[in-house]
Amino acid sequence: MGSIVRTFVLGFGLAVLLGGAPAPAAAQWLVTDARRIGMGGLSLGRSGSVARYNPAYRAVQAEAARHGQPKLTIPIPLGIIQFLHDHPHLSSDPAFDYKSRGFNPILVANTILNLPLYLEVKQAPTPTNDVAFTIGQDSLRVNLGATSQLVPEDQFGISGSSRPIDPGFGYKGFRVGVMGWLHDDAQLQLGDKLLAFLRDSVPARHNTLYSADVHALVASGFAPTVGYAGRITGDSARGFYVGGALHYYVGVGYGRTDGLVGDSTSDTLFAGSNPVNPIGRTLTQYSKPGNTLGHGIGADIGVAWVSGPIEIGFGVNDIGATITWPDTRLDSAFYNDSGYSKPVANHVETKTKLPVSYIANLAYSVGNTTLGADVLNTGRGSVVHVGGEQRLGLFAVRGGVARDQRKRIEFGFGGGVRFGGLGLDVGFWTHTNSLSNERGITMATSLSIY
Amino acid sequence: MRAKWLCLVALTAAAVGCGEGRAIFDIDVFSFLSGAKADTLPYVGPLPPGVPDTIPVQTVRSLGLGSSSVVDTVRFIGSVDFVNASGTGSVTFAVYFDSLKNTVYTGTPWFSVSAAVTPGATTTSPFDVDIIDPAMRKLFLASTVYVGIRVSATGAISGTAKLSALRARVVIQDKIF
Repeated sequence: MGSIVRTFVLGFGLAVLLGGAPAPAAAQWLVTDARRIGMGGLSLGRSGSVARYNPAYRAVQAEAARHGQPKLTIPIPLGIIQFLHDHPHLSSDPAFDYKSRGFNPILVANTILNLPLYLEVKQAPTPTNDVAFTIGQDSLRVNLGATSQLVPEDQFGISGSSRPIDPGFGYKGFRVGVMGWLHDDAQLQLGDKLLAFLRDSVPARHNTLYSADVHALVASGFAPTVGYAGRITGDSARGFYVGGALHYYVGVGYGRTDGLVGDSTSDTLFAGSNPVNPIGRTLTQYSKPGNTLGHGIGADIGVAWVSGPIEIGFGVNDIGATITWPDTRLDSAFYNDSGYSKPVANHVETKTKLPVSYIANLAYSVGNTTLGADVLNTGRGSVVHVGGEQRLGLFAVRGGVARDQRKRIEFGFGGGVRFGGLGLDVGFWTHTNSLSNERGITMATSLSIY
Repeated sequence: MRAKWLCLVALTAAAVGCGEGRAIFDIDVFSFLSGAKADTLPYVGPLPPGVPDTIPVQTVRSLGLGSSSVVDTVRFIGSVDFVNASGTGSVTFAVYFDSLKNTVYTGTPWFSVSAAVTPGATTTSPFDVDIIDPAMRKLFLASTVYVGIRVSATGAISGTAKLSALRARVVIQDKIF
């Protein structure tokens, strides 16, 4: 029984961890460039997110968009030293050994989601928070205290649309290629009863369903692409650039499940011998690799304007990207004490839709000063970065501010020193946890080659 | 027992979010006994052969946490009424816990309450007991704990021991699993 409980707790904890609060932060700060971190995560010119989401930047010359950027950045992962100090015997550390009773997959997942590349200069304070459980044969009440703030009222989860590979060739601005695409989406929405029980400390009631809605989707394939990016007016110093790409999405496979998981209480809350009696109802749709390929059409567009020290860009990805899957199987599944599933339909047509992403960016570079801002939305809320850099001879100082998908404000600052073609950069960024307004500070370091 | 699922969800929220805080469990053991009508036990002294001095072993749903959790406190708070019908003497009310049903009464009691009784009088004996033994504390990490009660009488007396409250307060340090 203990193992069942532990498995359940760990499993649910992993779901919360993977889908909850840390995910946006991880997505935002998956950056290894200390210079960029020092500017609050700002993307400049052809770096970072700008070139990914704005096809016009294929045509913007690197020189025009350099803003003091290095050609190559090599991260110095000082955080690994700290991590190894905290876990000196990693191979025998029970927390990382799945065969051990002390195995802690939440710690493992947290380590993976927040790779220990950076040095934790100041830990975000974790508030002391008691939680109270009142248990009787026919009563159950939980008071999570401040932790109840962690219980999400709205739908939460992780999702993304990525292009792991994008090979191709171009000529005079035109480009032909084949990109790989991957779309993943996992969502969880607590039901009202479960939410009240956890967040508002409402006692458990008889004959009540406590449940959560679940949704998961993963789809992948490739997309033959034709595109164009070019300067339609001006020169390399002052020009207006446009870019676009038309994708014919070919879906290799996808799977999707929607449903409900939970449990309903009976006449007496704690009665009988069965310790856990979950209920699940899901509808699963899938088109396996080897089935008839999915297909759809979508487009990216972007514009960029470079005028001396000013640069403005706007790009949108995956416009109208709806994938039609002509050979899908639908299964329903039920679980209540024991599980069974039955086919609903086969060889039917279903559709999935890639999220539309957009980015808007602004940069101003004059002399040794660079200022910039960008807004990125990948379908789950906007992330805003504002930052700048001032170069002073061999040295550079940087600062920036960011608003993440949770609408929390974080700060970045840092500096660098450059010797000829080699530079050393240090960037600091703040981060908060969900229970405290006090911030921790993390330090990133990297080498830059100019 | 289906509410166990809710316990698990809440435990998880606590595990992920409560930082260095403690998890405090207030288990109403009495509710499990009274639900099975095992909160009352007659006593007779001296005990005639064949007359039981114990209740049938009862099941209490406990925490179901990993053994690596650190139990800071296990404390029992409650009260027992000795409703004495006849005779003068003393009564001892002993409470047993174990992880195995068939060995509940083979060990020593976790705690006991004694009282002097007089004819026709009800003696109320409140108790507040801290469990010191770390091994005993760990028992409450299990998902199921078995409880038993034994009443022994000294002197020629008869009556009924009625448990009116028995709560276990279990405090777990921050490492829930």
